[in-house]
Amino acid sequence: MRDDDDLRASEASARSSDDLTSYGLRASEASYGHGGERGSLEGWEPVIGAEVGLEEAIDRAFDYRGDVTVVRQDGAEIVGYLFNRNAEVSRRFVQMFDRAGDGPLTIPYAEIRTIRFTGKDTAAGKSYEAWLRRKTERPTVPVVSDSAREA
Amino acid sequence: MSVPISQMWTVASYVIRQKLERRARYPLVLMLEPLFRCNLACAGCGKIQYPPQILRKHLTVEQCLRAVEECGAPIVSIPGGEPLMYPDIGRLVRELVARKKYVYLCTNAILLGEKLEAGVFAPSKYLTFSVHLDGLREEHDDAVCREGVYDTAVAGIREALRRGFRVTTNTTLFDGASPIRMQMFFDEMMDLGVEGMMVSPGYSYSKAPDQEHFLRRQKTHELFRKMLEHPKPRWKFNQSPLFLKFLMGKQDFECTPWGNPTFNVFGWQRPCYLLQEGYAATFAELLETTKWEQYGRASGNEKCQDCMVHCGHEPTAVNHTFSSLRGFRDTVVATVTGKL
Repeated sequence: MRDDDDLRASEASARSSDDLTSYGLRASEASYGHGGERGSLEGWEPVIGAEVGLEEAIDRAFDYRGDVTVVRQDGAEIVGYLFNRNAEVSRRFVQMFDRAGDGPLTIPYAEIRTIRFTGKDTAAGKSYEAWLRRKTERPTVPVVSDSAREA
Repeated sequence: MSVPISQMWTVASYVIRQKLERRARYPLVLMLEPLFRCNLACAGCGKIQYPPQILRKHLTVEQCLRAVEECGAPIVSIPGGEPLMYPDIGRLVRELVARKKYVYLCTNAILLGEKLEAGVFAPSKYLTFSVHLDGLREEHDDAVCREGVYDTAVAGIREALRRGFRVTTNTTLFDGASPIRMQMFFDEMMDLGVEGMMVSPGYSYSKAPDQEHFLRRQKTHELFRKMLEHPKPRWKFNQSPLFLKFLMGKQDFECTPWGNPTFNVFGWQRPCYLLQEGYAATFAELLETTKWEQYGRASGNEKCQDCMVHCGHEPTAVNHTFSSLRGFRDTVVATVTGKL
């Protein structure tokens, strides 16, 4: 129960935070101009070859802070978070955790037909300006004691 | 300087050993992130924007200990996420202390009082709570976007000190920070009785649209010079005095990106704690296959041009101390006299 509460707090925090990072933040670079708030890639379904190369689509999926759908050459689909890619080895690959958090699943580049940006972009709409706007619109949230949070 | 002699000796002998073994790249502090979940959403942090299944994940204690073993660094820093939300934090810390690793548990301290009351931790010279405080009450609550956190953290610090724990603070400074207010903060922390303070400028990507809110190199020098030009003898900093001189613009250091390697649920992060450009399966793979020449200011990498953050430059400062008589002398003089 406590874990669920913490997760909800974390997700709420993620929704209300911004990308003004003191620590590593791929999210702040997700401004590719493919629609959505501040150019989020959410909903993007690139046409590989015509619109963008597979390698670039993979790089953008790696930068994306939401789930993606990887479509294999045989049409099979894997939905999850793509956290790693390595294009500097002879058998280039991506790594993902699926939606249940299982993994890592390793998929060679050669087996990928395309990638769709199907999950919510957890970093979208979190600019410093958005944070300031929210801050002026409503008072800051007081600390809730853990006993109160558990109640 | 406020680092205990035993810790200084451990670090010094470790660095000298690396030099005698002619290891070109060695880690100083392992940044161990057992989870990304957090109970705050600080304005300057981008660690928590992940889908739910990633926020639910955490490393096992065994995975953490394997990483500690692989890395071999004498100091283990546990950031996150919020490490006090890690279900096995007590066991993890006990195991690390048993291995004589100096542990810095980096926490926002919201849960600290509760964990101490529950007896999760025992005081040890190897365990330090490094409490995140970005300034006085107003500045800190503003930075963490939640009212009351400063008071909760201070209450946690008091309780930890009362119970005999080592406590330090860690502070990230952004553009607009007031040197005078920061000096007042240093006074307040010393009044509180913390062992020492750690300060660092924030980090921004050069391409980030909101980079004007981060400290650029020149501004960093100005701020730290104003803050630390005439440091009060009572101010204790839990970091290399040469790193502080670097922040003040009195010393120039290149980045040592492998100095504070990061391990989390994705593996060993390339190339450093700040940039996420991929993951290696093992620490050896991280060291051997990362193109280190592509990082640091001298590389021309735009992401590194304004970075002056502790995780890349403090290892350089420590290495510098043991690389020449001058470096050693400068460190000793600054440590003994308190002058920067």
